[in-house]
Amino acid sequence: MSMNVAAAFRQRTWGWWLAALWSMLVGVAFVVGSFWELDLGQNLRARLQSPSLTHPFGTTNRGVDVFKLMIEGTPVTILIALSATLMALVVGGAFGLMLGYWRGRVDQAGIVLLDAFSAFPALVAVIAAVLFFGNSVRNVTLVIGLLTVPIFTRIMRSVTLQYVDRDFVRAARMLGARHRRVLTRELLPNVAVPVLGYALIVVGIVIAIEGALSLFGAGVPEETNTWGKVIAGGNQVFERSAHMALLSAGTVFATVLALNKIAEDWTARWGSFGMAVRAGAVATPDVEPLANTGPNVAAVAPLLVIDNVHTWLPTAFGVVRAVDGVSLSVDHGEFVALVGESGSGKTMLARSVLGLAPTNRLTKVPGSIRYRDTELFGADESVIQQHRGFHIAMVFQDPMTQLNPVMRVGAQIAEPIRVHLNLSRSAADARAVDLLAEVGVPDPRRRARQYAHELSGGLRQRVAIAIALAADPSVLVMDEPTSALDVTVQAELLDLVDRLRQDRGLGVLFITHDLGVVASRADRVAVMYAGRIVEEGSTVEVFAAPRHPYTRALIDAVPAITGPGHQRLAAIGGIPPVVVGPRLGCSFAPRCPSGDGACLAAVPLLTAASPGTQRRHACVHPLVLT
Amino acid sequence: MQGFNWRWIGRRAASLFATLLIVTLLTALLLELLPGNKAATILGTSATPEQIAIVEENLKLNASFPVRFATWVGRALVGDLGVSRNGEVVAQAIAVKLPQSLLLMMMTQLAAGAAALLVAAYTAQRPNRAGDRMASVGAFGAVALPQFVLALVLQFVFIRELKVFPSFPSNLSNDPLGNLWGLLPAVASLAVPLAGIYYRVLRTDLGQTMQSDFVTRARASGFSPRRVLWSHALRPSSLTLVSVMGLNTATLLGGTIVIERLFNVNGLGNYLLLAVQERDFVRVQGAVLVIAVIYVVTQLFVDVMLQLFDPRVRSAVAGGVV
Repeated sequence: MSMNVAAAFRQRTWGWWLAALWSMLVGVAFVVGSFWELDLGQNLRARLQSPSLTHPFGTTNRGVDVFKLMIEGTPVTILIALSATLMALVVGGAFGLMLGYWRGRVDQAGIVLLDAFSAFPALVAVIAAVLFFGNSVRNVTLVIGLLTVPIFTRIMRSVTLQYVDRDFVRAARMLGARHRRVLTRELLPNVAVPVLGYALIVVGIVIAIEGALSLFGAGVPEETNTWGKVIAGGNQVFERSAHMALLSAGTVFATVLALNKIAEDWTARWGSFGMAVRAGAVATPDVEPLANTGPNVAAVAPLLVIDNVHTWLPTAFGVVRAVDGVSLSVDHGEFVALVGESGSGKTMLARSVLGLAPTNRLTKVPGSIRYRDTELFGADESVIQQHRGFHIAMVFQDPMTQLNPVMRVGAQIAEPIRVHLNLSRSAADARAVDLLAEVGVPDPRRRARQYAHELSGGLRQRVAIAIALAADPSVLVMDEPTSALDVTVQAELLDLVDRLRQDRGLGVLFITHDLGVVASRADRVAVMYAGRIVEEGSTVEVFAAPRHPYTRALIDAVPAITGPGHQRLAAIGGIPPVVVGPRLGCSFAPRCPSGDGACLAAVPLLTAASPGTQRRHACVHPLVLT
Repeated sequence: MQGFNWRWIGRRAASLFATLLIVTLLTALLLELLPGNKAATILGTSATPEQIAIVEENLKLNASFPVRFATWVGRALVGDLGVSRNGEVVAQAIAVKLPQSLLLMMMTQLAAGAAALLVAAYTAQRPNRAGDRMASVGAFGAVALPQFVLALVLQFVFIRELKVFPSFPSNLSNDPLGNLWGLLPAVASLAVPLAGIYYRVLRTDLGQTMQSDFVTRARASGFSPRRVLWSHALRPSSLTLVSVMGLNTATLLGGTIVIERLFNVNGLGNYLLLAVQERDFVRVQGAVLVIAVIYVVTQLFVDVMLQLFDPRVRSAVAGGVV
């Protein structure tokens, strides 16, 4: 029990506790004001006194204690607020639920009505109604309630629209459930949480409206006291003494603020659970970097050298070793494939190359990324910025979302040309059209004027490649560029990449989970698992004789067209681990057919099969060459 | 305009025209329901039976409600909003008040929108840092701040104590600059809560956009953070903001009575309030109509803006999704 209390204390913010405390004070005032007869005697010798210990809120122009007046006014104020909100919640909520549920013509008619309501100067309508129909507490409550009905109608409608197409609601409808049953059993419980959170906010709004009404003398009758009445009274003597109006108005503000805070907490609590961790929230990493996985063996430094790069991310569970000591290189005209399952860290590596890993990553980690002679890993943002797009460009996985939805594709291709090559707008536009033609987009002039959503997936990816090529980079990092496309388009795109690297001498780092995609095109293959490279070598060698059991398993998972039909594909059991904290031996060991105690004794380092070659693997029990 | 969906705008216009009719009808019906002899109410207690007869004939008060409503609408269509009890031509009176209200509304929208935009542009690039958290707390407080509370504080500090601003803003047509200066406390009272709302809307959308692939891609193209924000992230993030600002336009015209009253602004809200308090139906009907017309025009403007801002909206409405 005490554990729970302690946990609750940790979760709530100080703002919430202040709000809760204030709400309790208002609650106490409600009880005191309801059941105790307060001494509100006039004291004409103590008129318009400033706040003091005896009169915390000062006195009125008749010497009445303002604090006591506020307490006396609390019950009616709160009752009006609660009943008006409840009324609006029931009426507006039901109305909004129906609009969202039936949609179509019902909804259209409802929207016209809501628009009409919004176009109507609401406060004036309320004042008019109160003036004409009398200002009894009941009338004021009814009128304010009516005024807030559209708020609930709108919110309930939009929340319902979000749920009405969810599977469980559709399922209930298809099973023949009656409308009323679907509405009350399936929809209502789900929309209740956000709408109730909003109701708290509306209680605050009603308290403010009551105050505004009283300011115009359109509030509740003379003999009834409310917070708004105190504010109005204060406003009348404002020129002589401002404290009465300011303190009573401040009370209203504090109450509205408290209600909003509690509402926010309520909605957040029942909504998604935030897992994001702020930068610096994890003070010191509880892990030490591993030693380098071996020196790069090339005699002349290639174009892009990734050397012992670490990308570690703080999370609620600890430090995730997304990239953990990876070395790799790409040279002119070279096609290097980085292969691994999702979650292996390959995308994080690609982003790290361009300095695009999440900003909350740990910075005190070893590593080096060199483009020609420039160090990029941990370099100044301005240095990295000069290289991005200009020397090293990137193509992302999703052809739709990586293009700006509100810009014509031609302008998106022209932009890097203008930024990096300082070409004029018209020259850049002309080049954009040429680039579209180069990446095989038919009718490039017309396509350049279109938006992303008007193109097919394959064309979008060609556009993305054209954007990447725009400033004529020497290295292209492609993060699963073909995974979202169907097979024939995949092949066309790969042909295009192949042609580009030959025509332009482009170095390509091609990231994929599909070994089959790169089998016939890549010069070299690196296999990544749980943040580390486990095998590397020329494509021919790796495919012909994989040394790491994981590579073997990946190759076996590729369906072979030449093999017998209806053969069962060899799937790898389990899922790749996310490595948090210190690494214990080989991460693949638990899923590995030849894994044993020796695998967990130490982290296997990437070692060359024979000195001087780039054929390397990190395995205690490498597969025997056959 | 390529791909611009005029048909949809036409449909929206039709629906908004229906809105306009409903507002007018509702106002007329509400006034109809009020007790007492209309002509006598209009003319006041000292009216003679002859005068009442003339007014009844003139306003067709003895005709059935549909006939009277149609007459009123017919006259309103040609700009005749009638003559009020104190003998002023309502259309003219409103034409005098409207510029002041429009000025107040535009200054408020400009101040609130610009504040929200600048702060959000700053904090969206530095998420979860001290500035972002301070802005979020500030916006939270601003949203909860009832207009009249801030108005009372501003009045106390700047008008009563420091005397920086006059109690009565000078007349708009005689002294435009003085009027502008005098309006500032009123603008601040209206703009601060709105800026809080606008900031939250924009910051939420901008935060999501900054996480999106195409922004990462823009960064991968080597663009400066400023270019990424202003030319890539901002436009697709401003759709909700534009809608919310549009909805507030009408509220700022008729619903500023609290502020107009507290700061002695001689605008449409005050005019409407006085009309209600004096039970002058002709003025009420006229003012409500003008406010509703401005609301409708703003909504149409917003619809056009949304299509200009986001080509996806264009195809969505073309496909009948919206």
